[in-house]
Amino acid sequence: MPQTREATILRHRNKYHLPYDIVLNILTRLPVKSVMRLRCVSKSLDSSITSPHFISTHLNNINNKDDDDDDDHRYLIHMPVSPPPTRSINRISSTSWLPTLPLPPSEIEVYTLSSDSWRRVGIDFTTNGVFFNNNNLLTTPLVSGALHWMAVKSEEEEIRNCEMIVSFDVNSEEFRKLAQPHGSIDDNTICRCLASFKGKLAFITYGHSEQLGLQHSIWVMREYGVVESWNKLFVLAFETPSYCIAFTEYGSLLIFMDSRSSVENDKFQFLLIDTETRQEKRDPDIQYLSTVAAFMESLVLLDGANVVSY
Amino acid sequence: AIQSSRFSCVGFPLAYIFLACKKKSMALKLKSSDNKIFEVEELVAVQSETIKSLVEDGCANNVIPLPNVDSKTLELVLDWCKNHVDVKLDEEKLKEYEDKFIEVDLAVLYDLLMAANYLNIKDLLNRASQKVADMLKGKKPEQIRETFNIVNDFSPEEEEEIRKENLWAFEE
Repeated sequence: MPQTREATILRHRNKYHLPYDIVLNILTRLPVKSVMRLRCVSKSLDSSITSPHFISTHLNNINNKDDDDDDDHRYLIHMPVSPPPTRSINRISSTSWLPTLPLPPSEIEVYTLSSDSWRRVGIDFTTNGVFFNNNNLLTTPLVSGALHWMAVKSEEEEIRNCEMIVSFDVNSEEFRKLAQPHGSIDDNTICRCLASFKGKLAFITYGHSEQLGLQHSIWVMREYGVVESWNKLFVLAFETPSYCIAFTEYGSLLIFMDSRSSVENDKFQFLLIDTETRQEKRDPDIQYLSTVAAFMESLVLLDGANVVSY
Repeated sequence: AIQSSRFSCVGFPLAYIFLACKKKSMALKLKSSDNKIFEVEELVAVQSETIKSLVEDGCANNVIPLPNVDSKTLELVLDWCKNHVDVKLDEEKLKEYEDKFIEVDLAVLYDLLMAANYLNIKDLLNRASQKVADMLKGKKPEQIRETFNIVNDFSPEEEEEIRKENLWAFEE
């Protein structure tokens, strides 16, 4: 009799008969792909996995995961640039990449995933003659809950004096103006763009350099919204036409060099610069002119009523 | 009686002082399911929320029986607690310790999970859960059912439907 009892315990133990909440705790730590495969394990597991609680716990666990752990939940993906739209789009989306606005928008609309609809939003300063500039190859930065563009008022004669940073707070749905760094623009400046540097707003100017061809100056707004906190990080000089593509999560800068016109090197080149050590790394893996998007996998649902906001 | 009146006139109830002193130096006695007694400092043991509430309720004066934890597991759990009580231990060393600690086979992990759950030690429960999750990465639904003893209550058609919806997740 004692032997059979022992055998029962062993068999149970072989199957790891864990309480359901421990099983769920374990499953919230799996990568998205593994979790999605488990939807067909059983009905109750399927409904647990698709519950808002599981989804938000899973998201939390991904965010809190140790940086030293294997990093397969973090990627830097690059995708070939699609041809520019033939029609001007004056709608903006609060949730995804934003089309450039080459014409003054007569009205601005926001797309909301949870309701799958476009809605007009107001702007509290005049947009008459305001052009939202192309951000070159950089994606529109989302910093402190707001999207940012360079904009210019066209009616003024001195165009470079009326450039401004326009922000759109995705929660309050309000537009604001932000000042550019003091002294950031002079006669050599060709254009300006915005980026996100370690979660802070970065301002990049492209200008002519006296020694070399081109130079990029990079400022970072240390304290969001405080003009005095603009801080010049560094200046980079290039002989060939070069463009900033993105900052990586750890603050390295990805540069695209267009060497097509030079004789000895007839192709695109990518350069990854460590902004602290200034070490350069040529990246041969990227073959095409690309844009960069930060990617993090999550179970958060994007369709209709199930959408969870964070 | 003299002491008592002296303390009460400066506003400290004697019993409170006595308890506070006792608390500081108190060692707790824990009894495993196989009747082994472990003597541990209270600071170490109260990382278990379960033991902590026993102490707070004044139920920890005698031996605390832990009928769900065997001595082998309890020894491991107390080692974990000892290493997490010392706040001076730097993060790197702690991580090193945790990584080494958790490098055990599935049977031991199972015991640790059950003990951490019963004793309510959150960081141990989370670390052990993460370890199991790492072992389960890439496993098929059939293997997960087997591992956790879950009964498949889908009809073959329903299961096929869900698989179709999530086809990308099944691609290698």
